[in-house]
Amino acid sequence: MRQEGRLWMIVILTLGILSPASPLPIFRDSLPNGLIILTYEDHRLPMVDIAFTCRSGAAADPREKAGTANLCAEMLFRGTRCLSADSIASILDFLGAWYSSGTNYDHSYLYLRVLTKDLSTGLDLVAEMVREPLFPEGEFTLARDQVLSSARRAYDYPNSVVSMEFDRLLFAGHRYALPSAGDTSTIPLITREDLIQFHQANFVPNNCFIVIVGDVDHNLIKEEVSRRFADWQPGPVKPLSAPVFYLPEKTKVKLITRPDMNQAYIHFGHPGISNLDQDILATRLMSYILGGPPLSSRMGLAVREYAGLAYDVRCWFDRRLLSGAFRATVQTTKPEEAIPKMFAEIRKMFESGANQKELLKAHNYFTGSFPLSYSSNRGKLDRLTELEIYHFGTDWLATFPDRIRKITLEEVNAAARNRLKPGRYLMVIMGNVSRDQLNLPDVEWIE
Amino acid sequence: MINLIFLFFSATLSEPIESRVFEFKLKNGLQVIGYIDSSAPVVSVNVYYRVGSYDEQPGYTGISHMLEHMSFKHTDIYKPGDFDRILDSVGAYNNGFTSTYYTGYYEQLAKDRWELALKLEAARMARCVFPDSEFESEHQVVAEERRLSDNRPTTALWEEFEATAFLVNPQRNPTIGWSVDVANFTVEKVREWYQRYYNPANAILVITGDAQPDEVKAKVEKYFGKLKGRPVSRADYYNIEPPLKGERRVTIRKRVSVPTILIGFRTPGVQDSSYVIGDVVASILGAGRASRLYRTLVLDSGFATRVSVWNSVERDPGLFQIMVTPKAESLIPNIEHLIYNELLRMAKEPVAERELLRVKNQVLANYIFSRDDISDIAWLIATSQITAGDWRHFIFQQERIQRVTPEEVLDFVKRHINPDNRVVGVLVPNQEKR
Repeated sequence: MRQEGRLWMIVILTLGILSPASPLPIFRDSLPNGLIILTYEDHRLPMVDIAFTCRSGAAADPREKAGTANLCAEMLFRGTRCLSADSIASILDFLGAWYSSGTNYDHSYLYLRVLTKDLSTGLDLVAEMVREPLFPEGEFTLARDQVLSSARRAYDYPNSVVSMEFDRLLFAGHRYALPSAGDTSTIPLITREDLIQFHQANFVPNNCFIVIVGDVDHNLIKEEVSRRFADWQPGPVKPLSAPVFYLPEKTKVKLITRPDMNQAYIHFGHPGISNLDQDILATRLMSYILGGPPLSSRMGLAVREYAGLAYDVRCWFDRRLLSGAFRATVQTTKPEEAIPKMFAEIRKMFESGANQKELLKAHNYFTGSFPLSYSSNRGKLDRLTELEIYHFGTDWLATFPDRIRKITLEEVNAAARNRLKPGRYLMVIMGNVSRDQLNLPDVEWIE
Repeated sequence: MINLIFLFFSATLSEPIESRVFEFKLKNGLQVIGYIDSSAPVVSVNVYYRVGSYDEQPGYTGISHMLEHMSFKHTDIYKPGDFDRILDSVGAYNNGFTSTYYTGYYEQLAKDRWELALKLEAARMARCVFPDSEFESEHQVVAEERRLSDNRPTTALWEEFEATAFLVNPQRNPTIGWSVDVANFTVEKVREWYQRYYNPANAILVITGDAQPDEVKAKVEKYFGKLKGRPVSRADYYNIEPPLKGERRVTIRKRVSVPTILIGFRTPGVQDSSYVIGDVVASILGAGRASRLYRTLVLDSGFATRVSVWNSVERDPGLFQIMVTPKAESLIPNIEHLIYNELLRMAKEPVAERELLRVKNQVLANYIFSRDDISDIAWLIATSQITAGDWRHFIFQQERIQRVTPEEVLDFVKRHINPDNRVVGVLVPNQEKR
């Protein structure tokens, strides 16, 4: 059951322990090779959640081979130096484990949930999969076919199509222009060697961290992780290149005519913000007031609640390491009425800002709902992964409510002025509509 | 090197779920079930009504869902928008959802504020008013939601598939309703539905999280105790559906790049305790890489990229379903052939004990994992009570699965997973792709 062999010398550098500012049982340690270990003890149930995260995600893909990181993560479960894909699946299925792997633009991960009694086996498997994947040729071909099928399927769903088209317009030339899992044009170009190279370049301990939540003792976790990872050699990691945005002088619209559809799907926006920017929280509060909950935000009230024009209408800023997009979306049979209302709300926020009552409501929502987001083990795992990816610090969970409450109306309104660009949108519309019906004044049409 | 010894595991379960549960009933018939989990200062309040698409006749399909929308609008003490404004202002998660057998509402919020959820839900239960002036805009919202379903290719397949599988049982109707019915909703129909189904005797209140029994009893009595209860008789269609007399097939053509196959077999409902064997068969066929159909269709033949198998039974006899994503439309006949061969083999040869053990281990682990989130456990308790008449049903279900034998699996497949009991739905690309 457990890894056998020589006894590893355990060398652990403890960076932080439970601090007075952080009453939650969160512990952050690191090994000399740079691997970070985050533990959150929760002994309610005899189970453990493990997420191994590499700080390189889709943004680290070669542009012409978008999807490499995703396929690399997918292949971690499909064979190692010592275990075949069948053996790995057989062990995990027999334990009743939950497992998955994946990628977003900022990181790649491998996730496992096991009963506490199977923790040692789970950690053995994680270590073997992230350190010694074999990327067997047959498995690679199969995984690539599966990922390609999903990428093709994305074109069958209107929401995905308008989102993908918008990304192509806004992030032209950058990796963000294509979906994080890659596209039908790039996935077929990826080779097994590309995955090996991606793994060698990015899966190094100083570019990775492991989060463990549940029925564990953090001191034992340090030992267990060290035993499996202490001899892993660090390596250099290439920095990412930030996107160079295209911000048009006036709104540009791409219309995709689809006579078979009975609604228009609309996705528009402009350059956004990085999750590391100083005004990120003020911007999130502003965006929440403008287009957060469809039943109570300004946009939701104007488009859905008062006019009945759509089921879902919203806007948001991407939350990524590099600057992402500001996006607004709606699906409606009356785009000629819904779009002007959304434009008007954005302009009003840009010109006049929010008011104190709206800010108070946003403060209360953010501070009240944040603890709910980590009441389950899976929620804790997600929050710890997020705070490590974006370098928020282990006191983030404890201090987040105070940070939110300290944000003033002036800061929120400054975020509106600095981050919103009314009248300078890129927009994609798909549906059975014509330019005449849309009646959009002062826009440039993209052929 | 990992040396793993396979043993039947007896998980170190924490104390049984029953020890954390308390229940009581108000004089007006409101059934209340609590589940204590004090590990986080959070409470989940859930109200489920015994009404859903199961209760809807032609002309009314989707009306339970329409009522769910309207119930957020206006009561005699709250104005439109107040529900969300109030709950957002305390950082609560909240929503409503409509299903075949129930309509549910939930609020998850901090321990010191959960009483607020009771106050709002009591108002929803007895004090909704539906002014004409507020109906039309919400009617349009729901019509737009219905159109979203039209534009999702697999949803369109699903609707046709279920309408083909059931001739009479209301499971044939989509929860959101058929377009023509949605278009003809009136505020009078909404009022009628509310009067008929929303009252304490037709509801279950489930409270999970950091709330103690005495506190729950006092607060529930305070907000719900004075409401008037009327038992609601619910039509029972359990035995109404005539048996299939041979395969039924439906083909949908849409503008898609990737085809989909759905194969269904009618299986017993919850009144037949063998129905859980359908879950075991589904896992053997489709759960994970070692499952039989994944191996046959994805790994060995390479004809498909994805396989999912599940037994869709909530109450009445339902459908055992196999969904496959073929690599190409031309492979559909080959895929069907391989699936039917695999099913035939399963009807002839008993499954290996080890294969069965894998499934039992997965079920037991899932049972423990389901307690991680107080919303999940609330859903299990409420839906068990509504569909099987006992909140413990999900516990009995996993216990029954632990006792399933290879002979029972063989018998189940022989009786239900056969060609005369089959429905096939296929989604294929029409002429103009992308």
